Amino acid sequence: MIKVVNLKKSFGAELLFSNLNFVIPKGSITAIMGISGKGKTTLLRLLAGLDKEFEGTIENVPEKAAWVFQEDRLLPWLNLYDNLALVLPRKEGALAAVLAALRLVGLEGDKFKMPSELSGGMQRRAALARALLFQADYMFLDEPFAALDRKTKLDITESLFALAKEKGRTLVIVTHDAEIVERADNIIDLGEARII
Amino acid sequence: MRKLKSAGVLLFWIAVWQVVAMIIDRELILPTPIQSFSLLIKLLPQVFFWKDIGVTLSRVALGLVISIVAGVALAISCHSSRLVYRLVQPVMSTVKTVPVMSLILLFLVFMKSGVVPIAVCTMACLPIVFSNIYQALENVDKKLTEMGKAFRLPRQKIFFKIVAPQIKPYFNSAVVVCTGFAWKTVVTAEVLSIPASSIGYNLYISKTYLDTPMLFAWTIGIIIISVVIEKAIKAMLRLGDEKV
Repeated sequence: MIKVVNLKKSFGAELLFSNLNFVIPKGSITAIMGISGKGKTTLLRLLAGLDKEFEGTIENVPEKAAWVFQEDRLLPWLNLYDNLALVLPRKEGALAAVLAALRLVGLEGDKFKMPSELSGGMQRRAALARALLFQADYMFLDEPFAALDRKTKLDITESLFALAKEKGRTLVIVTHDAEIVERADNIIDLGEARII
Repeated sequence: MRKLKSAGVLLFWIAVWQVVAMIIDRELILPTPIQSFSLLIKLLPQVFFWKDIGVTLSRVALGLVISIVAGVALAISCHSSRLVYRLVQPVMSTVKTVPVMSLILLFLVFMKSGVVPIAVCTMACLPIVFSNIYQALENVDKKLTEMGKAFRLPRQKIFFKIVAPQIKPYFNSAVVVCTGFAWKTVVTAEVLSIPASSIGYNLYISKTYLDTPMLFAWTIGIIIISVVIEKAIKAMLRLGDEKV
């Protein structure tokens, strides 16, 4: 369980948010929403420990977490298979694991393509597959379904949430999407600065 | 087809050379290609020819290696510390602007003639390696590195899989540029410092005795070796690219 107490973050003189108090229970799905510029991505980075400059306390920052960043962050010089296999600690069993992750996002047939050969939506799915492949109790997802059509989004969400529940993973998702927010266990609305 | 075209261009310019030499008709000013190539062929079985080439080549290699090692080390230090950058960067900019000739004459004052070409080559190539590698390090995509750290990749893996591929094009370009530059610099320094047993020494002797055909023969030899070395270096770098 991640516990946030009196969290305050500002960039210089500009206050992003303050007095944030909430908990993210283990195994839950939490959506962070709010209009642009309210600090959703910053909050996600704080929760994951990627940004350590803040006031207040964040307890139980996970040591290990899977990520889908706002940008896909695929390595342009590696093909899809190698991009995914990169996050695996061992080569043994990598082939089956990578193929399973790619199958889940519908990219199994594109495993040897370079990121530049993929559309924006396919790159997004590849970034999701990489996060799914990485064995961690926490997943931080920053607008993971951006650039995906509705059907693909719903299919992947279904698989992602089912997998998270099955493995007891904690999902923290930054999103504007009402359909995703609806399915979350907790909602942190930075626009309204309230926890629903 | 491309090779055939290149050969055609080469033959065309050799023919132009032959015609101009025939018009001038003075071996002392411009020997014909036939005279120059036949002299070069006569040099080929001579032991001293290969020995002198070997000595010059070893100077080029040593100068290159020193400049690459020092350039990379300085670039890493400057990337890590602003203070070191402020200290080193002006020195590199200054060294870059100093004419090679000044460096040779300066080093000749306090160095042995055999060492001068190596020192000059190092000083000439160092700023090129430094600026390329420093620029590469500054341009490394921090978001990709952060991705590696977020997925808890070991440092070694982050370096070899994420950082090194971004630095490699800059490194390769520095090595290719420096190889050609080092070769020219070392031979120039040898002509002025006249260390016994070197390509530069032979050029100097040819010039002193007004042996223009010999000067041309050695120059053709230098061009051929330079092309071979450049191709070898590019092939080696390509091989390195495939392995990364």
